[in-house]
Amino acid sequence: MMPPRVRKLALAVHLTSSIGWAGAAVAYVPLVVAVLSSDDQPVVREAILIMNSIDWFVIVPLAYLALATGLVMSLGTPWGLFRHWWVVFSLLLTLAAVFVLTEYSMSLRAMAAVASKPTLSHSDLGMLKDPGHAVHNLGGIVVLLVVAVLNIYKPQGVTRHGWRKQQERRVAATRRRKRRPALSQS
Amino acid sequence: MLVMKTDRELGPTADRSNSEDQDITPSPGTPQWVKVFGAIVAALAVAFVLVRITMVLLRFAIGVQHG
Repeated sequence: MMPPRVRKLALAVHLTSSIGWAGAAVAYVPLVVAVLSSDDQPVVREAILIMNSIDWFVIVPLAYLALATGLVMSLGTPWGLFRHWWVVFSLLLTLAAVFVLTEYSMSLRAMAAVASKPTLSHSDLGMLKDPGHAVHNLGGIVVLLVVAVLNIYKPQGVTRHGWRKQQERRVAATRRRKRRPALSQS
Repeated sequence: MLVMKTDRELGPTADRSNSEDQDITPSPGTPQWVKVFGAIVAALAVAFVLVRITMVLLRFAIGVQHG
């Protein structure tokens, strides 16, 4: 288990990166709206280039940091990684979100390369105005909100593995309690 | 004396990661919310995979059509 100071530092980094990820995803919405609603070439081009920068320099690093610190927090505290259902679901949803984000970021990089061309053809513009931007953005925000709710409310429910661990801890605690009077008598 | 507080008494924002309070869940039975939530997540995962497969097939079909 982590010492309290390290645990607090890990918690601070985890909260900051998770909230930062969600905030950056929300800040992304107006850019997606600009890309999908505008037929003005310079507007679409600039919005795609800004989206690519925000994605690669803010959202992707924060997402990986949130995942990594989440793993550290789970493994370094009594919550564990597979002991409580809310932790299992949070992990699964975060892993899925990071996977889809990485995949989307790859395609966004290709779109940014197209947007950097001096002139855009009609098909280039069609490719840039992909409705997938909105699907990924809104889907990501919903997943992050669900994970946030799970992490705040921590609904009860232990997995079989968690239950076994609890039993082991109870047995160990009982043994310690029984041993203590014997030691004090001697 | 060891006082075991319930989750309701602790409140939703209480930090319980370092306490014994998480041990109040007594049995390994799967709660109802896990079943409902698991079903929704599984359905979304299947839908996601199906959409991805459809998109790949569509791209392949368009590619074949355009030579």
